[in-house]
Amino acid sequence: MKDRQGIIITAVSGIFFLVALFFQPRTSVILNLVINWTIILSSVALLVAFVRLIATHMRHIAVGRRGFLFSLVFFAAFATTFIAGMFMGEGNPEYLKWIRAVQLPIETAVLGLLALVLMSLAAKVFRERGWSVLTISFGTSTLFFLFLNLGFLKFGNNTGLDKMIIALQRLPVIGARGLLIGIALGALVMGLRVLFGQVVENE
Amino acid sequence: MSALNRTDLLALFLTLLTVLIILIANINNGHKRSLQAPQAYEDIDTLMHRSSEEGKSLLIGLGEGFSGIGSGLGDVTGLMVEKTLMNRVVFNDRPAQSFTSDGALACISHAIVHGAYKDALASELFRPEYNQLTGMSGLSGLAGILPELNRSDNAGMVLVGSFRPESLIIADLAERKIIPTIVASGSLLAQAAFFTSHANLTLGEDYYLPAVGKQSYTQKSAFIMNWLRSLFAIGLVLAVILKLSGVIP
Amino acid sequence: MSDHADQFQVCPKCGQENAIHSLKCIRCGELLEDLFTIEGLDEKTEQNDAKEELSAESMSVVLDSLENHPLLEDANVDPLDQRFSEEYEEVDDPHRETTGEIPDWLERVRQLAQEEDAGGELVKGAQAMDAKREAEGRAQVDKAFDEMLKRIRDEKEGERQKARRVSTDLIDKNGDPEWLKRIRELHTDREHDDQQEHSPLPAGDDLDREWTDEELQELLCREIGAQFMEEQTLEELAPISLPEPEIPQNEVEPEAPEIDPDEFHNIPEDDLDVMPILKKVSEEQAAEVTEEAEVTEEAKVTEKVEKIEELDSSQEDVPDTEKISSEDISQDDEESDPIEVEEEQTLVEEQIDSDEVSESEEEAEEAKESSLSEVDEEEESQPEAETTEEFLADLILLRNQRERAQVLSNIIEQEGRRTLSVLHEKKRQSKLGRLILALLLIAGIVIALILGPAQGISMPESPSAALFSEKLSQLKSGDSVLVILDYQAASSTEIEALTKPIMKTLREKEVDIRLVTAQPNNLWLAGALFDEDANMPEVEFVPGGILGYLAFGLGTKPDWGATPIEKLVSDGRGMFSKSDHILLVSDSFEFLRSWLEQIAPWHADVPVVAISTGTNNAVLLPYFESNQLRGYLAGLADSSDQIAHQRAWQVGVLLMMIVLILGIITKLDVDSTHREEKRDAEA
Repeated sequence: MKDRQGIIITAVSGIFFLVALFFQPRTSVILNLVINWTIILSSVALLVAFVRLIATHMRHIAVGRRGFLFSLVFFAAFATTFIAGMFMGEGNPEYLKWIRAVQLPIETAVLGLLALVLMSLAAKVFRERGWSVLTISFGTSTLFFLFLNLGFLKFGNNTGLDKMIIALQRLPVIGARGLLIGIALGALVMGLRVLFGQVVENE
Repeated sequence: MSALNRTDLLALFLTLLTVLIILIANINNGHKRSLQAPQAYEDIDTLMHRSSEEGKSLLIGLGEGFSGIGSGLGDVTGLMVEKTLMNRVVFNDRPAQSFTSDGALACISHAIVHGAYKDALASELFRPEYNQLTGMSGLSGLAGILPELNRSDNAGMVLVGSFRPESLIIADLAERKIIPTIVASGSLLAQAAFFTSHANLTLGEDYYLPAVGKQSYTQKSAFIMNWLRSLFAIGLVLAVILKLSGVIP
Repeated sequence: MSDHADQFQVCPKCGQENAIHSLKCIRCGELLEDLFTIEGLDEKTEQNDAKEELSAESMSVVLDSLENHPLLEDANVDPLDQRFSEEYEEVDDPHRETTGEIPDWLERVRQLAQEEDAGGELVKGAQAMDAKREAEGRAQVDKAFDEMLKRIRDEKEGERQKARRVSTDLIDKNGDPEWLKRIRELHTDREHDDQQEHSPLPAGDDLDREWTDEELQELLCREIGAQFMEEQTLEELAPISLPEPEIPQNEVEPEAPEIDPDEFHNIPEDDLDVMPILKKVSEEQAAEVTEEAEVTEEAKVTEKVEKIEELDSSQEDVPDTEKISSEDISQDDEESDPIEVEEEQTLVEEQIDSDEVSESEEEAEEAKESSLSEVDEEEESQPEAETTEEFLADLILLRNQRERAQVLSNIIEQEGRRTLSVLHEKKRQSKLGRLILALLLIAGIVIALILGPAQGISMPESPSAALFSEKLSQLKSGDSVLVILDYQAASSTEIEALTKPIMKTLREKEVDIRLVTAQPNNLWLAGALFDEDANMPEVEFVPGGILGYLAFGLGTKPDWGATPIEKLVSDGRGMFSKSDHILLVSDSFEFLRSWLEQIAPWHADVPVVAISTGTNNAVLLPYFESNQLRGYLAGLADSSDQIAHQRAWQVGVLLMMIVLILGIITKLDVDSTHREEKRDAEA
């Protein structure tokens, strides 16, 4: 098997970390070291990936690939930010304000676009998914809890309506808890199977 | 931290229980009844075939969580799916491209793609730009995927990994470009957001049943998770009964 | 060639006499190319009415002579030759003991053999092989000769026929029909038998002289059907098998119709010029029919003549013949002179013959006319038949081809198309609807912001927010709070709206705030959390994200020194050990979940509270319920003094609800329309 070495290394390191995690404080120092190595590896990987990103965009510019103007914009923004940060210092308040001034409107616009997209999709969700238990419960719960959270209904007087509303408000908690437990179990199973060397293989 | 607390003990118990069920699943190879795989992963197979037939490229989004530098610790599901996909689409007319918002994920993805070409004895076909880091954060990564999606020679899009709800914009653009999209994410918010779109998606823990490639892996995982869920449910019901009866203070 | 069947050709190398048609010398294997000729070939082409042409009879004679040639067969070898061959064997076989005296010539031959045959065994072997090959190839050679001669003959005959057809009528000046002339020419060897042919026919059965209807029908069917039969070669079409019980082998075979194999093939509609060829074939077939009829008649006549001769020799059947020919022949007295009887017989026979000939001629003409008429009918109906036959042929021959071609064209058309089930393929969306929605949303929010009521909205306080406020109020001066920042610029407006008052409260309470972040964004976003004139604490950057926090949350510092991350972040481990509260400020549920599940368990004694966006409200509840999160603020609804934002938020939520309801109504409407259409279609 070609992946045997990788699987063995993965399994050994995973089991080691797991054991070290449970057998603290004896393994605290080793745990600390291992985590530090992981951080360094991740950071270096990030640097490598970032350099490759720059190289890719530069290649796009050199080749004249369709959309290379955007690569030009990217490279120009990167170069300006990098050079300014080198000269002004990353802690310079002016430098930081300048970056915030550029980044904030762009990302806020993206969120606004997201709101618009959500609204247009809300108009089509039933046409896309059709009628099913899932879609009907989705629509019903969405309308109910959106209305509830609008604050038009006042409760807190311990009336029957309040109790009913409070009880209904716990439904999302139940659903979320079930989903979170399932996701946690799934992550646990997958992690352990990786430790045992059982990965998805090609047929 | 000198001793294991209750949470640690509970975690240890769960781990050992899961290990036991995994061993039982491995021993009990022949299942009488095959469990249905998530439809979204089966559609990935269809998408692969389509990209081969049409001679267009397949886009793979791996999300932002893996090393923890981003939003949180991710998992290897996306990498598993990418590996299976790449092994099958190596010789397509247009290569598959993968995008990610995490540095470590990008490097591992690079290794996987390169390995796929190497295994197919086609290393000369590999190009580094087949998988790239699109951004340092979630939204910047999203901004990096959108131009790639806007091109005309895309057969489909597969999003597997940890995504934000803002990634719904990707699905919207894909729908306007009539590009089939498959989303498999462990993030609850992303699942809720993508549910309103046209994309095929996995709900809940179906994300951890990557049925692309060897189906036996998925069947065993489903078997293990079913058992765990059942035991959890039984345990919770027992706990409620004991609590209500006053056994547990 | 046939005339010189008995001639030999001498090998130039060894002097061995070989048959005239041999390709190689039987002794030394020398090729006898120069000696290979076809005699009479050039002569015949010049003569139109040549009587000295090659005939099958002569050819067969040649073949017989070859087969019986003393040189090739040991059985028929002459004594002289046998002796010679024995001596030759004696020469070649060194092991053979010589008995008696060796003649001089033998010695000379042996010497010559030794000198010439240097190869010895090799030549012997080669010669043996050659002999073997010769024996095997003899049949092929003969066959080749046969075919060649036949072809030459046919060509000549065809040319003669063409010339005759062009120049002459059917009946020549002597009154003999064309076909009779041809027959006579074909049977040139039997010139001496012409008299017999023309001699009065003996009395015979009337049925033997005439073609029966059945035979004619069969012949016609055979001829017509042969035109459209597949895989019929020329040889199959040409020789129509006729009963030849006593026809000698040296008779000429009936000529095959002149059909060029290259022209004729089995797919009529592929050959646009099939009509003239069919016509030609039909004419030739008709002519052949008549010729064959005549031939059979002639054969029968010949038989009868022979019988008559036999009878004449015995003079026993004269009265019978007279009886048979009583209708047309005037009979003489029985006691007439034998010579006179003979003369009378010849006269009678001639008359009978002529009558028979005329009858046969009539019949042949009738057959010819019928065949021609059938051909004409065929020609007339050929356009119709051709179409029907075309259809039939199309159906039979080209249907498969057409189907295959159709399948192939379908496959080619599918190139580039989606052949698999489409995954949610939809039509292109119109941008107008989206534009209207956008304008509606913007208008609603702007109006809410501008024209909304001045007083605040009393939003109900959620339990989580209430607890959060409670926790906040429990803080006193000197407490330290670890504030973990992890949000992006996109959600900074909402986060800052919630966090800024909290920071202000903490500053007022003189709580020690330690700002830590693993996101580079927060280095320049954190400034908005504090007032400009306030002394903002330094934002510490922790590399590695969640792993960095984990590095400080787990493990211990080694004795040999500090790890890289500990060098980078001063008193990193004090984040957890020295903090009374941990405040997570994040817009990412994944970060919150990772903290609560990975890091918080290792420091369970430090309470954790969170500030997040409204999207995380529902998913944080389980952690709040399980006491992992002591309180949280999620969204503007939990903010107390952001009135304008709350109003805009309410408008936005209302618009979303309206759009959702509209979507449901639209779907119901579409479904009902489809149902009606379906009902109408079924009706």
